[in-house]
Amino acid sequence: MATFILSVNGVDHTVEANPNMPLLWALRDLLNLTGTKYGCGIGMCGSCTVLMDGNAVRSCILPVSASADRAIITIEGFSTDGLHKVQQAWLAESVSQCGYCQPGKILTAAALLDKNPHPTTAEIDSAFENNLCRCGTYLRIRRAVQRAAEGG
Amino acid sequence: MTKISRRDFLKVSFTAGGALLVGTYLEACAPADLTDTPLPMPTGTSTAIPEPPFQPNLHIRIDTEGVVTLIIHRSEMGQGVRTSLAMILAEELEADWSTVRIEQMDASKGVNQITSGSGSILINYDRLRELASVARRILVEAAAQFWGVTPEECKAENGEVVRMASGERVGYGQLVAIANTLDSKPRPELKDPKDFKLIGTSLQRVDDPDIVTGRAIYGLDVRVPNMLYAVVARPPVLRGELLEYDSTQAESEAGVRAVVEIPGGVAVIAENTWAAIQGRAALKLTWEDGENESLSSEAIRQQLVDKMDAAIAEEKATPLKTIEAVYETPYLAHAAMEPVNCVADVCADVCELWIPTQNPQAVQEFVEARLGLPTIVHVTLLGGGFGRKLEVDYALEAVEVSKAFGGPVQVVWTREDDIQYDFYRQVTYHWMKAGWDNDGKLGLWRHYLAGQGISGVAYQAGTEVLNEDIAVLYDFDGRISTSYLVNLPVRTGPWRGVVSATNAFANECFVDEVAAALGRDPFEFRMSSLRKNDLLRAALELAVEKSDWDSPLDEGHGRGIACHKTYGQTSVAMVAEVSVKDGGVHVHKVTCAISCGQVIHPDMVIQQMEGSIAFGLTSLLKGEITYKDGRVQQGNFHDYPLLQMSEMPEVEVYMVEDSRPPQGLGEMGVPPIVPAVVNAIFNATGIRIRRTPIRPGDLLVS
Repeated sequence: MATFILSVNGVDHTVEANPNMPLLWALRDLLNLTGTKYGCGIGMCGSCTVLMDGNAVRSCILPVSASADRAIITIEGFSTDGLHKVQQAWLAESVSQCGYCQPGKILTAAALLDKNPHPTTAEIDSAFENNLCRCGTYLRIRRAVQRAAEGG
Repeated sequence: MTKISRRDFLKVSFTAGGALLVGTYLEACAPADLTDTPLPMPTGTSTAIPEPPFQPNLHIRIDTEGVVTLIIHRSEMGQGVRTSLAMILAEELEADWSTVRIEQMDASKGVNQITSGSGSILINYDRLRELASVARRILVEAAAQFWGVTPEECKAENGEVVRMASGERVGYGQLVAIANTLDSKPRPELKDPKDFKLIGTSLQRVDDPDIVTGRAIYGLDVRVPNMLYAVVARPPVLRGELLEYDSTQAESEAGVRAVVEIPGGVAVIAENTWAAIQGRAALKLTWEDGENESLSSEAIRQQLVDKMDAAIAEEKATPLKTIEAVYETPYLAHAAMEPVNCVADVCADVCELWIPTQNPQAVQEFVEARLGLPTIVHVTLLGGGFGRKLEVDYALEAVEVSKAFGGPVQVVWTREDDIQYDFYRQVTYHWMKAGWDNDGKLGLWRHYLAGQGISGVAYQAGTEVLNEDIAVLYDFDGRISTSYLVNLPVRTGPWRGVVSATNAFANECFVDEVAAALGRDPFEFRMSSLRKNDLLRAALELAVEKSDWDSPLDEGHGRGIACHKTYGQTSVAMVAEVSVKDGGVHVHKVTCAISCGQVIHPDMVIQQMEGSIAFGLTSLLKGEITYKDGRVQQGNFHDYPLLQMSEMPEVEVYMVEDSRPPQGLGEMGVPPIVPAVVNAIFNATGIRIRRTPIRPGDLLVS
């Protein structure tokens, strides 16, 4: 066990954790931020995606020891009012079915658009490689990213 | 230290998540330091007893603020039922949509709560409309009393009652007090569908704002006071048993609080999920593998083959020209993005569960029978269900863990647990034969299915499930379709589309083989073989028209068609366009036409078709569950992959005018997609895929 300072959604949290504990479980079980979802635990599905220093990362395979002192944004802190253009695009395109994996998808989209404001379809597909959705919302995710790229 | 009542703690823990759950308070379980002391009344509030809400039945509650709550008895797993049932309610109640809220019903008596068979709307459409209509008429009567006029002089409109002569209006909330005094039981007066204002529109789903902000509460997101986290070590071989275990090292893992033996395994209980997983990995376990220690997929298949060989040995010779083929499907996992999980709190005299379930009443029934305790079952949102969350195993296991430990626990299933201890889609082996005379007129059709039924805890079914939609859709002479049950130890369960999907694969691909053998166009052959008034005709015609069926194709491309009528309800036709290159298939586009009765929410129809196509394509293009030495060989998305975004075809959905009441949607797109693509692959390459999933090499021209 060791002590880490996690900066999550602009707030510093001190956590006592096994250094190998994935950030996912620290967020969910230690900080009670359950918007970040568990899907596979091996970085293959993207449900656990959070932003770290602006990059989309898979929190299920990122040890808490490598997450300390970095700026972490989860879906709860991404935009509390849901008015971010990516969230608005998600609502406008009615992307969600069960919705479980969508927080990870929304943050993946935000990181993509931050680096590439006008991605092609192939670039969107590439950014969403191993971002699985069992409900099959892929076409709408793609459209929502394009809508957000066009300004929402 | 400020004392907080357990009641308020629960409320806080849920509303902080923004969810629509109402936690039930269990005084019996409250720890000593969380006693339910009444909070002081806020200053300045009246001590008068507030008017209770108007609650004319199990499902509808209207409060004095005019908020209309649908107390919903079906589970939301992505199909949109919380929105569509609320729309039906609001339509007949003449509610103001902006005031409609949803509350999830706990397991209850007196109403069927099972979410299965694509039946939530089909079954509840008339019933909910009637209940809402009666409530509306009582509110109109209340308004009439308020104004001292007759009900005929008033009408309900958008959350208010209007006095027609004067145009005066009174909101539903203001009518609650009078409505509560009325002892009237009016008959329902249903709207003419042409007057619908909400039904038939694509409103935003009620849960969407919570989903995009991370506030939606699924089973894994439930947190109750003093809750710990648990994972369970289960026998690696199907139905194996625990001989002994050593938990010394597991118990020394940081955060691990206890290791307990339960029927069927060993649970590690910890302060967080990660510690529980680490603790489980540190267990030293000795299992008795038992009679399934050498079970293999090859041996399972051989049992199906043997059963079929015995069945077809009885077939008589025929003078007709015939073709034969065998179609096969494997075990498949559900792989919902949210693995199964359950929070259980077993106390001395009561048990309380929070669970993502499609089947709360079965959960309650099985748990009560196991524990002999009254059991409260709260239903959360489901991160996908697809039939897996109809089963009760994960609830029974969670109560065993809570009981053995003596406190509230969340039993988390890792992805590996979820895939390896699933109730899979059945293995099936379909023997097909067709025969025709010299004029090409069919006089013989055989579809014999050897397969496993449903072997679950809450669910068991034999040939009745194998026979689901086994009959070919077409009016051929000499049809015999029947099934042969093979008893196997593997746990199986309902999987989106169930056996209807594998039967459609065999029927619709083999019909395509017959059409090709006869030199007939697959669309024209189907149309000429359907009965005159079959609703499939309109769906097929529309799919063909919209897909530009006869237009030229690019080099290497092919087009295929298939249709199905799942559970005899909804007609769906699909045209798929594919290309095959270097042994791989790419599905470019699927044109879908559907005849599903009254459409409640057009965009949800499209969503369900898109989702079904992705689900079906995964079964055709991706993984399977196999056994070796009694063990499942897959465990996570690296060896049980799902369709990726880059593999998702363009999808167009068209709805056929259909005046029937609403028919099912959730599963209906799964059966036709696989044969549509398989038939398109044949059109492109001349290669017939008769076994799913497609394996490496299947599409290489030798």
